[in-house]
Parts: sequence; C-alpha cells; structure tokens
Amino acid sequence: MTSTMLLDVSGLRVAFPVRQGGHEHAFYAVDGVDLRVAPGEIVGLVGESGSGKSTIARAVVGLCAVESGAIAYGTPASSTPRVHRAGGAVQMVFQDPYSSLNPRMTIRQQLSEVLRVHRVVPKESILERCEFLMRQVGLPPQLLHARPSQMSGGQRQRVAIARALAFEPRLLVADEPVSALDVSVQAEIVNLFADLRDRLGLSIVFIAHDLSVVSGLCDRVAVIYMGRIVEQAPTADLFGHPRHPYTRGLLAAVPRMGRARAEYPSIVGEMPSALHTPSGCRFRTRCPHVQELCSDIDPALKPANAPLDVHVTACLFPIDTVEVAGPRQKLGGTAPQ
Amino acid sequence: MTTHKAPLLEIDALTIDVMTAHGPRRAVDGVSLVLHGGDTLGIVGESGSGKSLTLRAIMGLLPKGVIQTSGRIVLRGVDVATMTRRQRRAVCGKDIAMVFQDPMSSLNPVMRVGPQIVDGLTARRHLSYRDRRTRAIELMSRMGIPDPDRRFHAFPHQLSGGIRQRVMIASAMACEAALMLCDEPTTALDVTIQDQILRLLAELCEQSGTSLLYVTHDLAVASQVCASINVMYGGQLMESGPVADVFRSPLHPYTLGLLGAMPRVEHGKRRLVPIGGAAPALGELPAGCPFAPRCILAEEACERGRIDWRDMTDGRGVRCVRPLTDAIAPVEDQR
Amino acid sequence: MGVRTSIAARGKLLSPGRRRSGAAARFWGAGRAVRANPTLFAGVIIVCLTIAVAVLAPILAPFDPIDQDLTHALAGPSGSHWLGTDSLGRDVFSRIVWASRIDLAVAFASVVAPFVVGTAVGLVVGYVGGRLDAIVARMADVVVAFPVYVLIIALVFALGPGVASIFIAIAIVSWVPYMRIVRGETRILRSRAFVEAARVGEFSHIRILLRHIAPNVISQPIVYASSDVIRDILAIATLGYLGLGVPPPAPEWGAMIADGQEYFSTDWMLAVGPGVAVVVTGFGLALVGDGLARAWRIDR
Repeated sequence: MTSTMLLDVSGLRVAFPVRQGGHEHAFYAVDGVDLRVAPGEIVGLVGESGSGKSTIARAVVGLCAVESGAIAYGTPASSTPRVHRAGGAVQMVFQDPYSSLNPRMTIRQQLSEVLRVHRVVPKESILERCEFLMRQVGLPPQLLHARPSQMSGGQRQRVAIARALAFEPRLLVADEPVSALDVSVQAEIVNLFADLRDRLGLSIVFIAHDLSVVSGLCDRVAVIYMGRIVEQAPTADLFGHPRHPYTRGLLAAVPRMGRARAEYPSIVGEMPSALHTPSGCRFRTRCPHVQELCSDIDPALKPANAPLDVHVTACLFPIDTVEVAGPRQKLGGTAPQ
Repeated sequence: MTTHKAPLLEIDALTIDVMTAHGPRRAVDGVSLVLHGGDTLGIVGESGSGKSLTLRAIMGLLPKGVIQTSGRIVLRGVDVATMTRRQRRAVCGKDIAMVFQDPMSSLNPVMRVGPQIVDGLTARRHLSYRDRRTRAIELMSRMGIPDPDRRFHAFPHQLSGGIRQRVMIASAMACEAALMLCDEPTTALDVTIQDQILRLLAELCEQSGTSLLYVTHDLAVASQVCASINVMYGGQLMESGPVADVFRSPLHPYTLGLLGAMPRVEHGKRRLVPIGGAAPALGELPAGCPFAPRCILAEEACERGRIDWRDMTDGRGVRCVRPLTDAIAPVEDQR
Repeated sequence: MGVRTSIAARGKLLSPGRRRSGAAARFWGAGRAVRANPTLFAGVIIVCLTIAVAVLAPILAPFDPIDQDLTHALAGPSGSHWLGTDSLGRDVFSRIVWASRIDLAVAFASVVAPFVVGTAVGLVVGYVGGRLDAIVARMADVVVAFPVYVLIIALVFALGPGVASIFIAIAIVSWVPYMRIVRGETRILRSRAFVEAARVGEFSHIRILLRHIAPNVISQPIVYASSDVIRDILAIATLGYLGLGVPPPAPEWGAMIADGQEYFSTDWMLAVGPGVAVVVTGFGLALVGDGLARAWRIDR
C-alpha cells in the first residue's frame, strides 16, 4: 500500500524553540503525524489556528526543519529522519495572494524564471509554455505582461497556481489558498483545484480552517488538534458520521444558512497553549464527554468500526454512529429539536 | 418586530465618495436603511461593496479622503448633520456602540482591559469606582470570559483574539447602547470561537433588546444573528428582506449567485457555481446595474441607467429590472 | 484548456496602448512620477544645478580660487568681486564655486562604498540570519558606539589629512546604517510568500537574493543615501572647519566657513556664502530623498 503513495509522512514532529523565564523550551507544533496521499487524491487538513496544520504543510515542502520522522515522496518512507528533496515535484500555494508574487517582476518573468532555471522546456518554447500555463489556470495570456499590482486577488492566486504548475509538480500543497478571497472568487479557485486534479492527476494537500470549503473539494479529510491528527476519514464519512467530539464540535460551529442552530453544543473555551499540553487526551479540557480515564491515557488513532476501516479516530470514547442517529438528550443538556 | 414612533436609525439615500488621485470615486451609492428598536439587521457584501463605509458613516468615522456627499443619517428622529460635533459624540457614545474586526486596534494597548470597560460604563457615572468595577467584572463574566477577576488586570496583548473580542463586546455593552454596530467582528477568529461569539451576540440582543447592525461578507454568519438582511454590491443595495425569505427565494441574481458560490457543509461534495468575473473596481462602476456585467440574466435595460428600488411584499425589496420572482409580486401589482 | 476564461481576467486586461517595452515603460513611469511628485522634481533640479556649478566651475568662476591678491584682502562685495575677497585677497565667489567640486565629489564618492558594502552585508546577513547575523550586529554596535566625529578625527590623525583620509574615515563608519536598513527589510522579505515560494522551488540562494530580494529592498538604501550625502558634506565641512579636512589652499566649504568666522562681525559674507552653499545642496538632496521615498512607497 505504501509503495503506491505519492507522499508518505510518518511520525512527523516539528519543534520550535520558545524562551520562557530565561529557559529554552521546545514546543511541538507538530507532534507525531502520519499522513499519506495517493496520486490524484485531494486530502484536506482542517483545524483551528495554531493547530499545526500549516506547519505540516511547511515541513512537507521543506520550509521548516523536521525534528524527527520521515517524509517520503513517491518511495516508501525511509526510517531516517531526513527529508528527501522532491526536486520540484512538490510545490506550494500560499494563503495571501498579495504577497505570493514578486511585485517587481512581470508575470511572464516569474513563470519563465521557473521554466528556464529548472530547464522544464527548451529555451525556444518558454513563451509558448507560459501562455499554456496561463490558459491552464483560466487567465488570458495577455496578462503575462502585467505586474502583480495590476491584478485582482483572484487573478494573483491563479498566477501563483500557474507558477507552481510550471514546475510540473505531482503534489500541490495549498495553505489556505482561498481564505483571503471573496466568496464568488473563492468558488472559482476551489473549482480550479478540482479541475487540475481531474486533468493533470495532481495530488493536493488542501489546508483550510473553513470546513465547508473542504467538504466540497476533498476526498479525505484529516482533523488536526494541537499538533496531532485526531480523526481522519473519507470526506462524506467524516462529515456525516464524525466520531471524535472535536470534529463534531467543529462541524457544529460552522455557521449555517437560516437561523436554525446546530443542536450539538459548540466547543467551549480555547485551545490550550502548546506549552501546557494537557495530560492524556489533548482535547479533554474542552471535550463535552470527558471522563476520568481521558486524563490518563493518550489515545492513539484507531480504526472506527472494522479493523481495516479507513475512518480512524483518536478518542477513548468515540461517538457511536448509533448515538448520532438517535436522540441527543445525553449530550451536554442541549435542547431537543 | 417592535415599532417605535420614530425609528432608531434611518439612513436615507446615503452617498459616499472616495477621493483618489483621479478625482472622486463613488463608493456608496444611495443606500437607504431603516432600523427600529430591537431589530437585528445584516449588511452582506463582498470587499468593495461599500458595506463598511456605510457603517462608519453612521458613527462619523469615515477615513480621511472619504466624504459623505449626500443623504441623511437620522438617529432617533434627529438628523446627525444638524448636530454639533459634541452632540454627535454624545449620541454616538450613549446610543451607539461599535465592535470592529480587529479588537487590538480599538483597545488601548497600554491600558489594562478592565479599566477600559469601566470607562465604558458611562450610564453609571454616579456609582463609585468600586461598584463600577464590580459591574465590569460582572459584564466580563456574562460575556463568557473565564476568570474575569484575573483578566480584569490583563493588557490586551496578553489575551487571545477571542477573549479580546469578548472584551470589546463587553465594553460596547457597558454603555448600554441601544444600537450595536458590528464590522466583521468574527472574521479574524476560528470557527469555534466565531460560533461562541455569534451565540453570545444573538443571546445579548435577545435579552437586552439591543438593536444590531451587523456587517459581514459571510451570508451564513449574518443568518445566525440577524432577522433581516441587506445585500450590497458595487455601493448599492441589491436586495433586502427577512433572512429566511432572502435565502429561500432570492430575488436578485447576485444574491442567487452568492448562494451558489458559497461552499456549505450540509451539501457535501459538490461543485460550486462561481459567479464569474470580478467585482467592479472603485470608479469602474457601469452606468446601469453594477452587477450587470457579471449577471447571466442581464439584458439591455440593465445597462441603460440606474435601476430603481422596488418594494415587494413581506417586507422585501430588490433593485433589479427583472427580479427572480414568480411567487412574489411587486407591491404595486397587488393593489 | 477546459478552464473557463473568466470575465474577471478579460475585464482587467491592460489596454494595448498602455503597454510598453520594459525600458520605455520605466522611462515614462519615471516621467509620470516626477510630475506627480513635485518634491522629487524640485530636489532633482536643485541637485542638478549644484552639479552643473561644479562641472562648469572654470567658466562660472571669474577668478582663480587660489590666486592671492594681498592688496585687495578683505575687500567687501563689489562689481568685480561679487561676494568680496578673503583675508588673502582671494575671490570668495570663485572659491565657493570651485569648492563645490571637492565637496560634491568627496561626498558622493564616500557614499558609494558604504552603500555597496552595507547593502551587500545587509542582504547576506538578513537572509542567512543566525550566528552570522549576531556577529555582524555586534561589529556594527562597536562601530556605532563610537562617537562618529571622534572616530573620523582619530582616523584622520592616523592617516594624515587629505581627501583619501576623509574618504576612508567616512566609509568605515557609515556602512552600518545601510547594513541595518537592508538587513531589516531582508528579514521581512525572507518570510514573504513569494520568497518562500522561490525556496520551495529550489532556486539557488544567490538567485533568490539577487532576483527576488534585492530589487525589493534596494529602494530603501537609495533613499537613505540621498540623506547620507548631506551628512557627508557636513562631515567634510566640519572636518574642514576643524582643520582636518582638505589641506589648504584648495577651496572647501567647511574650511572657508572656519576661516571666515574670524571676520564675521565685519565681513560676514566670508562665512555665510559657503554656508548657504552647504544648506542649498543639502536641501536639494533632502528633497530628492523624500521624493524618492514617496515615489517608491506607492509601488510597495
């Protein structure tokens, strides 16, 4: 199974030094994450800010140092904690379209730089390829002469995607690529990602804090909490039958149309500081179903139902699918519908 | 909906220009709103729609180089243009409170948050500091701020974004204003915290009867706290009506487009329907309907000139040559 | 294909008439910037005039600046000697004109070396960070902790007065601000998404520095340089005043002011004339600095 994976991350830990009271501490922004991405698959990473989802992305593309664990591209994971350079096969799309392009270079200069330096195409067909890339992201080739300051946010984000595509990557890591855009433009970019997967067979790791964006695009979703994956499942399964209380709460917090409130209680409080990681289950301080055992045992990711289930949850008392369908009086004193 | 003799806030044909190097550019174009006591009203629009400027104009907080060129803003029956600066400030301080997107910029960074809330207790000047302090701590705990006694002495930068926004709302509630203006107060927050704040706002408005004018780019957020909604585009009001009706059967193609472009958890995996095109840049507004260049239903009449506002039944209204309606007829046709 | 070309893109297209080749666009861009930027325009005119005076000194100056005529010492302004003569009977106006050559040349020359060194060090240090950054920062602290003039004076004493000494003295001290400005800007840019994208793209560090970071930070040291020239002129004048500058009899503004102050109560023109020259030149350069800062801010 592993050999067919395009990206195989195992046991990833990323530490940042923090100075507190004169002592150097290391806090783990990512603390033991396994993540696999198959060719042509779109995997969503969701979580609150500070959960470590962006750090996972940055580690995957080599923008931050890995403390331990392995990141392998296209080959089975090696056991050494070394990052194998992907040679352009992994590219990144950033959140802010206003800072992801060099303001002093025209679009053509930025695209052809990639093609020239990495010898993607022979010199004489660089312009042709630039125009092809522009069309691929839905921009007219005339815009090649423009500078970023002459373009709208949506157009810039398309150029940023074109620039990433110029490397002919197999995996695109998109870190909140639509959260800075207006709703109507956001939809176009989300659709563009779907199209690129369909036409080029690209794999995409799509990071978002907005669950609704992820729900429409991704094949599989991993929910991140305090540097760990707490639940992972195919999208429909995760959103339809969330088993981790955090996932349930996160879903309940998504604002829905109409005044009808989600009947499940929203998550109380805020994520604890990484310097004060709770013992046992990290979510227990905010969990509506917390029990005594939760502070003693740190739950591992386990298949939800059958032993080989792809739906995995890190919870000692996962929410039973049966209970989800039944009455909800048990859950934290919320009013029945 | 409670009705008083005079509405709490009335905006009539508000027009705002932004001064640029190339002359004045229209940013808000003839916006009219009426808000009665206890109303919760949302203004929804994308960036550049003029929604925030409209809100700022009410407080007299238009940025430099942005000018209200015409229109009236009437507070409790008094036109703010006739007020002196001092009167206006008094009214704004007493009757209106504002919550901004970035609480850090509206809280004093070198002052502990507690005293800032105490300062907001303008209606309780006669009480001793001790009593006002107790009241501020009460307010903080009512806003769901954990450990308010300790947080009272915290500086803004020591608090998380969510708590800071709660402090902002607490100091807004402190002056017991009749109207709370919110400018995207949850946009910078996580969904979980956003949900907590929205629940809090909805609850506060219900309990204390505070009116709410809530500006956001997110239709779903507006639907959580507002009873009725105004959709803005290109500086003009496109549609207004009760939240549920507007979302169930939008009258304006733009509202319909927004709804289609919006990803929704409850829809599962599904391709979104983008509107296509981009919002007009400042000063590039077409002569007719600002949405016409992006509208799939646009016809010649849409581009000819300014489109008139049409009042519809059930408290709804739309600015469209051909509203998307079979069920709802314009008011005049009913007579 | 497949992706629908959006109206957004079409709507934002540049009109063909406004698209020009790189060099032409830059020229027209600069022209427009001057028109929209009267500060820069005024500054450029003043600076060009002072440079013109320096270049045309042999034509403009009616007398030889070092020609002494003791019979006409301390003669007040007259038809032939517009600003009068100094204690050695030399024509003051001619000396001011000729002095612009030395003052401007030394000032501009002593900006170039610190600019190049400071910018290069700042780029590397800001990009690499870590230990190197700390070491260079401490070095800079040591240089800056010294009172500037004391350091220059010490150097001039060690190396002997003369243009070369002034040049070296200024260069050793004034690379620090350039380094600090560029270092700060580079550190900010290093975490900007387009630089991170270049790193993900596995471009060489040299390419990232020169192609992506340098063009985006270079405006800052250039703006600073225009005010630095003023400081250098003042430094030269100050050194001249202290008798550590350009050796006599060569005309130099600072030395002229120093000589003239003795006779201030009777022949005030001796000190005020070169003083005005310093002020006008400095004013022009300050305007250029402000103008450039404004012109580039819009673009950022």
